[in-house]
Amino acid sequence: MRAVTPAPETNDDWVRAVRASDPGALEALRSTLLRGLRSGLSSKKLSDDVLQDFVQEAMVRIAAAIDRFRGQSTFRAWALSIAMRVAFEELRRARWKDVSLEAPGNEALDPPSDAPGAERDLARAQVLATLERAIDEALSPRQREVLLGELGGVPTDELAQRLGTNPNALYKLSHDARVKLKQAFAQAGLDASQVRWAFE
Amino acid sequence: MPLNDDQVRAVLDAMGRTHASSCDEFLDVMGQLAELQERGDALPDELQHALEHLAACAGCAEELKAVRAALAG
Repeated sequence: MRAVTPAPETNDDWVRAVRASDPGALEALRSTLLRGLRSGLSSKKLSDDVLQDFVQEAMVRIAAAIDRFRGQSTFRAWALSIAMRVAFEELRRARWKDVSLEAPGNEALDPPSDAPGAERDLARAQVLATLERAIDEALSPRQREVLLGELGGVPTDELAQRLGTNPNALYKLSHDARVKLKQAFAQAGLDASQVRWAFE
Repeated sequence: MPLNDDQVRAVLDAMGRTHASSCDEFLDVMGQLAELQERGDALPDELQHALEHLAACAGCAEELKAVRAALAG
């Protein structure tokens, strides 16, 4: 009969056990992740089968990423973070798989709702014209596609998949797009306070 | 390409929060941040970039909230 290995207690114990694929430790980790996902995702009403799938994928990723664990949190918190990332990636993918990037919910510009006066109307029109021109002319096609996807509420993972890239590369595209838009506003002589005032 | 008011505000907000770190970098510190927040401890300076990322990334914010719930549960 195989002896039951106690669950590791310290971070170092956990790292050693995961590196060694210690069966008792892996089982303890599986239980910890499943309990954590049940608590953290309780509002999602997911079945245990679905949660088990998330745990399985998380176990693989945790083993692959063990060298990135720097011990600045408990091992449990670090592992739960990875499990939660796995779960949300899957949930977002499932939720958004049928949403088109071509129809991000754009509607005509809303009329001013608070009768803001001629000066503010003018400022709003200038901000809007600058923004739309920058989106059309300053952004690359992929940057534009990312921005429109984000405006449509498409999650990063889904957007990355549709564009054939990964979330980090997508993040860079989005970041660079925002930098270009900021540059366009600066070139148009619009500073942050004017822009905020126009759209308060 | 017409934009509605909410979309204009969303772009302007995102421009104002342009930051440097990535979702993968945030994942490296998400457990630490979750534990510190759950305990109500002060956050060290080195987590400042994580907070900036959080302010601009709804996905990571959603995940952090769930990790905190898991730790508390």
